[in-house]
Amino acid sequence: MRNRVRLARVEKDYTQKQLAEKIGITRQTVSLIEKGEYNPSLKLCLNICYALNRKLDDLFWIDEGEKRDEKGS
Amino acid sequence: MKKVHDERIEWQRLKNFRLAFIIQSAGIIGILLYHLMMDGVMEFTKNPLWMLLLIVAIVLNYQNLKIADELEDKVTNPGPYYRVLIYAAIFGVLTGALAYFFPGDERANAFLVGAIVFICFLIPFTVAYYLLKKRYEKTE
Repeated sequence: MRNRVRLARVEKDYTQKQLAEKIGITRQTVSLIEKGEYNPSLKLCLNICYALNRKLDDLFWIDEGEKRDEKGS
Repeated sequence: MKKVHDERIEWQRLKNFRLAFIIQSAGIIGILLYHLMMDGVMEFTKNPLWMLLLIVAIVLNYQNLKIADELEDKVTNPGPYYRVLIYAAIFGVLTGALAYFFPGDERANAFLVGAIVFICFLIPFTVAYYLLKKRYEKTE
């Protein structure tokens, strides 16, 4: 599922490896989350938010219309 | 160094275990079927692999009971536990009595048959009782 983790990470000037180490997961998982190829649990989403000083909504919220477009494409 | 608890890897590991379990079970069933065809039913049930297969099936089904969704919307109080003991004892005594009066069977075996039936009823009844009780306490 699409998210704004990559954008927030770049703004914070973290590499994928740094973010992964901060959260305690692997770099591959961060990469897959950013690409929308892995859906993290709510617990992991929160840990990402804490590490990037962002709200859950900022990183993971998708409007219903946006989601429908994503499904259609 | 910080310990990595990656949920994606744990999930993948579980999937790998599932695949290994499927292959292992298929192998065990294959070996048992081979024994069944070559040696007959009596030898087949003597094979420890048969016991292993039964134990795995029982454990798996008990574990699945915990995650099964309630069939009824209304959750009723299962009542006191001694009722479970009484039901299991009734089944045990009835089966023991049947074995005692059954012609051709050794009467000493009747007690053993009754005891086995008692235990076989007591264990699933107890598990079901605690599951119902837990559900009832949650909904209260």
